Amino acid sequence: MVVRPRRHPLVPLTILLSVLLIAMFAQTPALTAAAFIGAALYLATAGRTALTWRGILGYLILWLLVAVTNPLFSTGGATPIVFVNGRPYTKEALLYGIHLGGMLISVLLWFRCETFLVSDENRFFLFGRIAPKTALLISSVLRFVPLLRRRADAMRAAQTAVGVYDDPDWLHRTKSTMTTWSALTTWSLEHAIDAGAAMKARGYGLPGRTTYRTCHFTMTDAACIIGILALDAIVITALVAGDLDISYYPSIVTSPVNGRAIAGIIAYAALALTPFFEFLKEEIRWSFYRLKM
Amino acid sequence: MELLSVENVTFRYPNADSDALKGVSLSVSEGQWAVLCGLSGCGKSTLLKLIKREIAPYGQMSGRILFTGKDTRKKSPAEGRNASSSANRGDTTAERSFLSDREAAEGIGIVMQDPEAQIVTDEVWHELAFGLENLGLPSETIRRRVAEMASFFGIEDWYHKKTFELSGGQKQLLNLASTLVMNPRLLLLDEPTAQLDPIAAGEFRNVLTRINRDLGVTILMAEHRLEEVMPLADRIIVMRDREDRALARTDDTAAGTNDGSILFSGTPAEAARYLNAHSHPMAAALPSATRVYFALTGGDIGWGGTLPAGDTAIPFTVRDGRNLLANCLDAAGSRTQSFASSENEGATKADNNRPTVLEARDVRFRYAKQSPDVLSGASLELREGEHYCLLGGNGSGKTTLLSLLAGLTKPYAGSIRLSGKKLSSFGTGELYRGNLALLPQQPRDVFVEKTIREDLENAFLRMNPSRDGSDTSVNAEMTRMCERLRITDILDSHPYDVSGGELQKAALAKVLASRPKVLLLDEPAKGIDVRGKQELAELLDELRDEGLAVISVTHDAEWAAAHADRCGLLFDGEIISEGAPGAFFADNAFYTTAANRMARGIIEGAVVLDDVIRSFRNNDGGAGKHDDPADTEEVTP
Repeated sequence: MVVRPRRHPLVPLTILLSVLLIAMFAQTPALTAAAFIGAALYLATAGRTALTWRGILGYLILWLLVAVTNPLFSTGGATPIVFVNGRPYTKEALLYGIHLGGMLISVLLWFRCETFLVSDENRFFLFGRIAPKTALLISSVLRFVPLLRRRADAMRAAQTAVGVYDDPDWLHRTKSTMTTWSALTTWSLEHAIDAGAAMKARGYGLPGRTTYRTCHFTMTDAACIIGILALDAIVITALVAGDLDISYYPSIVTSPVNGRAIAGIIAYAALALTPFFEFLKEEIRWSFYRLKM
Repeated sequence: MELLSVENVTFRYPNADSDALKGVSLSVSEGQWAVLCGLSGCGKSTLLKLIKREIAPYGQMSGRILFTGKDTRKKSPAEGRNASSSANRGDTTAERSFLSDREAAEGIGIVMQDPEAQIVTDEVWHELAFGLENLGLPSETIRRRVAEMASFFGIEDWYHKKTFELSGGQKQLLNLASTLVMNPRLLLLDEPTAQLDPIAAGEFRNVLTRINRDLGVTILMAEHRLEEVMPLADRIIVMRDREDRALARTDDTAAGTNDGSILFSGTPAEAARYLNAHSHPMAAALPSATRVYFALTGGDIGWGGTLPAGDTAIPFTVRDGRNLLANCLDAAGSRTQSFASSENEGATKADNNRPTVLEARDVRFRYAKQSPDVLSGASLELREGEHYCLLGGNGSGKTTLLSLLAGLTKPYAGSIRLSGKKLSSFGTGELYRGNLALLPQQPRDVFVEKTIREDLENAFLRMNPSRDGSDTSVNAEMTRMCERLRITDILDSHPYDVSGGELQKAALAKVLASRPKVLLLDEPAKGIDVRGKQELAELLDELRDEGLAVISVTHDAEWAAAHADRCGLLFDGEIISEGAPGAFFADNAFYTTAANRMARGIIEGAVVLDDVIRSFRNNDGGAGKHDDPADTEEVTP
C-alpha cells in the first residue's frame, strides 16, 4: 500500500527526462536500441502487471507500420529493393524506417515507464512544488470526479424509479434526460459551495500557505542526480562532436568509431538500464533477505 | 473565563420575514461538552455557523459572539460606531479586541452533518495535512501532527487510501481528525452522526468522548436525538422551535417573559426534567430510560410505587434504566415479569390472510463475475397493506436488495414478482406507473426542477395519459396530496432550500403521484427529528389502510419496532430471521431497541417503550394493590 521510494522522486524524474530527451533528438541506432532495451526490460519486470499481449502487439504493429511505410514516402536511398508504382523502395529508407519506428516505440515505452517510476503521490508532490495552487486544484478535482459519478448514478436511479425514462414519448424522455443533467449541474455548484465552506473553515486563504512535503532530499539523492547529469554530459559531448552521427541517404554513412563515441553509448546505456537494474537489485535484495529469515 | 460567550444574538436571513435566532445568550466554559437540542429548523445550525465566522451565513445580526474574550466578527471600518454603542451599554473598554483570521481558523473547528461535503482533497494523508498547510506550518511540524492524529484516531490503515473509497463512518472520522489536527480549543458539531449507521455513530461518539475527556477539547454540539448524547454531555441547551416561537407560548414559566430562541439551559438532568414538565416535543427524543423514569414518577399510569427523586436519580443509560426497572420490581415483590403485546399478534394474524403483492425468491446478485455475492438467495414476501422493515448491518446488501426489488438492477438468479408477474415482463412505462415507487436515501435525487411545484406537476401530469388541457383533475389531485402531506407552503421553494424532513415529504408526494401498490423506502428515518418521524409514521399508516404495501430499509431499530408489521434481518446475503417486531426484537440481544435492552430479563417480551410502561400498569393490578379498580380490568391474562 505504502509507496515511499527510497530515492527522492526527483531522481527517477531526472533519469526519465534524460533518456527521453536524448532518445528524441539523437539519430543514432545504438542509442535508440539502448533506450528500447532499457524500457522493455523495465516494463517486462517492474511493470509486468500492466503488460498485456494486446498492448505488445499494438506496439509491434505500429513499429512495423512506420518501418514499412517510410520507403513509400522517402525515395532517397541508393539501393532499391523493389519498385512500387515506378518509385524505388530502397534499403536505406527501410532501415531508416526501422530506426524511426524504434525511436517512436522507445519514447512511448518510456512514457509508460513513468507510471511505475514516479507514483501518483510523488507526481503530485513534484508538481506541487512548481505550482502549488494548481496541484491543490487537481487534487480536489480528483476528489470530485468519483463523487459526481456516484451522484449521477443515484440521480439516474431515482429518476428511473419515478418513471421518467420509460415514458413512451421519446420527446419527453429526451427532455427528462436533459433536466436530470441540469439538476446534476445544480448539485455540482451546491457541492462547490459546500467544499468552499469546508476549505475556509479549515483556514484556506490565510497568508503564507505551505505545501506538505512527504519526501526528503538527501545527500545520496544529490549524488545520484550529479551522477546522472555526468552521464548526460558524456552522451551530449559525443553527440555535439558528431561522433555518433549517421546519415542514411543516399547510402548509410557512419562516423568513424572513436573513444568518445563508445563512452557516449555506454553512458547512455547505463542511463537507460538504470531503472531495470535498480528493480533487479531490489528483487535480489528481497530474495536474500527472505532467505536469511 | 468562558471560552465562548454568545451575547443577545439575533439573526435574520436576507428576505426572511422572521428572525432565525432571537435573543440568544449562552456561554460555554473550557472543557465543557454542551449540546444544543431542538427540532429541525430551530436555528441550531445557524447558531453554530455564526460562531464559526468563516462560514457565517449572510444576513442581519445583532449582539455579539466572543471567543476567548475576543469578538469573532471581522474588524470592519464601521467599528468606530459599534464601539461607541457598546460604551453606551456600559462597556468600559471602548477598544474591543477582535479575533484574528488565524485565531479564528485555528481556535474553532467545525464538523458538519454530511461527511461527503467536507472532504477537500483526494487522499487521506493530504486531507489531514490540508488545514496545517493553510496555517503555513513547515513540513516537519505537519508530519508530526498528522502522524499523531492518525494514530490517535487509528487511521494508519487507511492513511494512503483515496478519500472516495472510505465508508461513511470513516469519512466523518477523517473530517473530525483533519479538524482536530489544527488543535482547536472549541469544536462545533452539527448533527455529526445523523448520516451514519448506529455502529459508526457509536464509534464517532467514542472518539468524541476521548477528545473531550483526554484532550480537554470543548464541544458544542447540535443534536436532536438525545438517546446517546445525554449521558455524555455536561450541559443541554434547549432551543425553541420556530413554529413554537411564532405562537409565542406564554404558559412557559422558565422562559415565559421572553420569546427568545433559547428555552432552557442546564445539566442533562435539569434539562430532562424541563422537557418532561413542559411536554416539549423534544421530550420524545429523551433516552428510553429517562422516559420510563418520568412515566413511572408522573403518576399518569397509576403505578403505586415510589422512585427516588432528585437529579441524580434520573437514569440516562440502558444500565441505569435496568437498575431502575429491577428496583421497581423488587419493590413490587417479583423478580421478573412477562409482557406479551396483544396488538402485534393480532396484526400478524390478519396479515396472513392478505394477498401477496411483492415476492422475491432466492435472489442472487453480485457486481462483477469475480466479486463475491452481495445477495446469495434472499427471499422476501410482502403482503398488501403491510409495512416490512428490512434491517441489517452496514454493507449487508439492504440497499442492493431494495434496488433489485425496484427493478433498477437485475438479479443473476432468482425471481422477483409483483402481483404474480415477473418484474422483467413489465412493459415500458408500466412498472413505475401504478405499481412500484422508490424513495431514495437522498430525497433530493428525486427533484430535478427549480421548484418543488414544477417537479410535482410533472409527476402528476405524467399519470394523465392524454397530457392535454384536462389539467384541472390533475391539479386537484396534486393539491389534495400536498394538503395531506402538509407541504403546500414549501411548494415554491428550491428543493435544496427546505429542511430534510420537508424535502422527504415532498419527495414522497412525488413518488406517490404514480399511485403505487408498493412503496420502497431507503432509510426513511435518517436525519429526521422526532416530530418528522412521527408524521412520517402516521402518514404511512394512513396509506397502508388504503392498501399500500411498504418496505423500509433502516438501521433504526426503534423505528422498526414501533412502526413495522414485520421485520427481517439481512445478513451474509440472505434474510436470516423474520417476524413480527415483538418476537423479532425480543429474540435479538444487540440488534434491538434500547427499551428491549433495558427490559431484557426483567420484563420479558417488551420491545418498545410503551410495552415497558404498560407492563407496570399491569403489574400494579397483578400485584394486588387495589387502589384503582379500573386498572385491573386491563390486565392481560
